[in-house]
Amino acid sequence: MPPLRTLDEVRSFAIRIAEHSGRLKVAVPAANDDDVIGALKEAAIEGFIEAILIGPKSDIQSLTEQVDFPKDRYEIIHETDVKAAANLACKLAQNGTAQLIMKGNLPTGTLLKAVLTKEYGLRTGRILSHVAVLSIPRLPRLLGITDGGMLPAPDEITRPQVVENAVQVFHALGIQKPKVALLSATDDVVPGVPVTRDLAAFAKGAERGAIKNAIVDGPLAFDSAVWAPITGRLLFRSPVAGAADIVVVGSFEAGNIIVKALYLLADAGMAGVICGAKVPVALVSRSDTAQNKMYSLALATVVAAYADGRIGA
Amino acid sequence: MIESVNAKALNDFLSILPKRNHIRLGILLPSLPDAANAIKAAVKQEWIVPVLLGNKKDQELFSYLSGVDAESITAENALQALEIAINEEKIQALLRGEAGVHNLFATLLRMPSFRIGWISQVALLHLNSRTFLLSDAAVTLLPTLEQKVKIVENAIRVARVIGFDPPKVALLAAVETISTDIPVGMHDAILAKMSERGQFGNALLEGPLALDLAISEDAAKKKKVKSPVAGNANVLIAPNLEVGNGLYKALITLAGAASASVVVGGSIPIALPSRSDSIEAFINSILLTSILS
Repeated sequence: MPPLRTLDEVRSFAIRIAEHSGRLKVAVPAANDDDVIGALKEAAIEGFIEAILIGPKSDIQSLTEQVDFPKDRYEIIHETDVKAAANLACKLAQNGTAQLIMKGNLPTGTLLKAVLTKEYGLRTGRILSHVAVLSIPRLPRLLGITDGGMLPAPDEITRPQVVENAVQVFHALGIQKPKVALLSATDDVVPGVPVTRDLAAFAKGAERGAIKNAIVDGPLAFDSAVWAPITGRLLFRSPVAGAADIVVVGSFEAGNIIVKALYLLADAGMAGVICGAKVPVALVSRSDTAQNKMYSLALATVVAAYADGRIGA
Repeated sequence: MIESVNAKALNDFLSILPKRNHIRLGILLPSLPDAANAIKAAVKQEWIVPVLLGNKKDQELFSYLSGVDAESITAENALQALEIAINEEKIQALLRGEAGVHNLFATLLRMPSFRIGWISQVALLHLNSRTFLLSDAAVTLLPTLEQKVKIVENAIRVARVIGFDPPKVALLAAVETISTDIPVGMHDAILAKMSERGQFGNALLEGPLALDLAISEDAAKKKKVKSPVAGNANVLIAPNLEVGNGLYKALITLAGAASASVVVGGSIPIALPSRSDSIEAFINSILLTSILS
């Protein structure tokens, strides 16, 4: 499979997967939310998902009717308690009825707590982290930024897991050996600055085999990481410099602010997914554009198909 | 020499501001041809008189690269020449050279004659018909509250000189909620209160603010944030260096922003274009430096 280079290609690929091996099913706890129903309906019409809407039946029914949700693309399971709805979504994912989960009208924490409940079998041993995937006109490839939504700041325990979660997303996108940059304000390893030491040690460990199927380097500044023209100006060699597929940020502020800058000021399309469980968790924010909501569902679908074995490793 | 639309707009913006001509600009050997060409252009415009800081070899190389006859201050190496130039007040501004920024700052920050205030970097950016300042992308790793006050004051001073009246300062964060778990947000809340008390003069300041609330009027309206800064900020303050540097680099590489970058707070301003910057950014950085010197 050739690497996907834009979010439109991700969407087309999600459609092809459905045509080839059936539409994936999305379990949606607390689906009584106009925004969520709207995004699901678009994806259902595009043809890559069917929805299992869990929540108060009559509320959901009237929302689906309002947007003309195709009747053969969803079912409703009545459940008024949001915790029970979250648990049910996880059970459906565990027994294979659903291949991905989408967050409805409930606190993210409630849903993720259910996902991490041992008896539902969705845990992989890794933490859950958020991966943003951006399609930027000035960049000839997709760019992943992690974690800009969930973790305050990765440390030596969580950093490898954050990296592995993002690497898995990029494997699903057809990038066999994604290049991972560990972001810092400078490329220099400054012994007096702990974060640069941590990143240097982690990168060296990754090179020695701690991270498989990816090429990791850091510390790298943002331009050194992603901008190919800069490589001629760097006084060092790096297999990642100028070509990073994934940027791992050191603080939740960095992820949040850089991702927002790219979609507000660099015309980037944006998708996001929570990874680290056996199935991906899609979530959309009210302030996302309709197109970005669609991209997020398409991304989660492709990641789910990869986790499910429908598309090759 | 200025080709991109954004760089041209930034150059037009800077060109009408009052400045002194013929400022003595200290030059650390530029290995990048862009830097040499930018110096040549600045000499031709009569903005600067170049003063090369370095040893004999550096001087020969510079004159070869730029074709400009520069005065020089000679020492064993460039950083020693820089110390002499600053201690003896032989230069009024400085342009960064090839040397890593880390070494340059280490030298400067050791010098009491340079370190007369808190040092911070301020970038002037132009993108999508919007001109704004961003600080700090180069100096302080994780500012304390006291240091952040100085960073804000430095940025406000630059904002006033370039005619942002009033400066509208947004303290960037990931979320607007203020909680004791997030120290940066606590700092921002304190700074916002200081601003209400008039401690930053006529500048308007708001924080913590997510980037969309700072610069997008739509987002500010949707989230119902009532503040004269929300949606209209012209000065963005980053919570830490990773954000400041990452945001700055993301805007110039992936958004095509034009920039002029300068380090302020010392005895002289320093033009500090980043290595991924174009020749246009070198020219605009030198111009901004001459406006501030």
